[in-house]
Amino acid sequence: MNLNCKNITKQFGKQIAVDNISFSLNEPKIYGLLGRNGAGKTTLLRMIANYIRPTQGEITFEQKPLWENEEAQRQIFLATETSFFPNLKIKELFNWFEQSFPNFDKQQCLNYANQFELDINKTTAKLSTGYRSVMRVVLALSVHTPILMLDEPTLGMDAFHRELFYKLLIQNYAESPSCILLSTHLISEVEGLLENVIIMDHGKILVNQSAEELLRRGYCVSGKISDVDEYCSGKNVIGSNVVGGLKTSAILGERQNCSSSLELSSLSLQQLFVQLVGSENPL
Amino acid sequence: MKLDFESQTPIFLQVSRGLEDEILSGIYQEEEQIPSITELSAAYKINPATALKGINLLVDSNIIYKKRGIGMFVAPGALQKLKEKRQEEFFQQYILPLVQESKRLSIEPEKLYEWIERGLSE
Repeated sequence: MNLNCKNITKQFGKQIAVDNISFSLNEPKIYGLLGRNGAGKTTLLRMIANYIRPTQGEITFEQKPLWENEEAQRQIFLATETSFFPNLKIKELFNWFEQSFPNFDKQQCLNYANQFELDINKTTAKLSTGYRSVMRVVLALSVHTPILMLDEPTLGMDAFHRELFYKLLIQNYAESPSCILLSTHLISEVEGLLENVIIMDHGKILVNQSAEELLRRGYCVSGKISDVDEYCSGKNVIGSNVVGGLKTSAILGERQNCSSSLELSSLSLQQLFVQLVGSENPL
Repeated sequence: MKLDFESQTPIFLQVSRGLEDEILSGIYQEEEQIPSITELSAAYKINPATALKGINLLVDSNIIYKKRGIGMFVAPGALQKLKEKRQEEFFQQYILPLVQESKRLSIEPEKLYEWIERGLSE
């Protein structure tokens, strides 16, 4: 399996949504695609899904151009907010999927719909935001394409549905690994799931590496204000926070030992993300 | 088992440590089956590769063994092995912090001995 994006740019009028980015997906892994609103995530996903064509550059799947490549279209699935066939009943939509995707498992899909308490006799137009998300993930978990892209899959879902979705996603992936690209703002909810993290900012890729390596790039130090300030001098501090006499600073770089009056801790992926895309001194 | 994503300890180590604790407290007896990688990763919302890495540490130290196509089991003798390993860590993990904190609170050594006696008898 190989998907390769080479110097792709997407421009809408004067607006550059995706700005000359390159990366490839070669193995079954769970990738997190993170970025603030407007960073270009959805545009990138829509290009990979063959919905829109890059203004410049090229995407290839299995070394062949992706655009209007029907074989590739059956191997890549994007679950995104635009709803297909709003006037079709959900059960009819399942039939359409069965004809369109060779590995779509209808029985499993019905089972998932049942677990999520999704009424398959309704049309998609009649669903609430949360249930539209449910319908998308029920389909996405049953298509079994080598590349699965989930764009804000849990949008509007309640906590019960979100937990059920994560559980089924992991079960599915553990039983038959595929390449999953998960775009979400709920970083702390998916932190443990991600093997690789791609962070986009202003149309560019800021970070593309394993979650483990990324998390090693930053850490936190806390203690008395004067002690923390002394420890931080000469280091790349990306954020600080003072509560009473206690100061906590986030630092990028190798961990160095400190005196016993200070406490070192790790940054969570969400904390690191906020510091990286919110600050003027990215990695 | 509870995983802490902000801890300095990597998640896979927390997984193996957590399973060790569960074996030590008798939740999984020797020769008893432990949850599969899929069950573990779904239950704790972690990547299956992370769960596997944690389990493999236990397989390498002969605490867990795999039966092909059936599952993973607690090895015979695992409990004894874990107790010995944890006893070695006991001084570092419990005694040193205890002494440190007692100094900070100006607790006299005699008081400390007395409390340990009391704790033992309770």
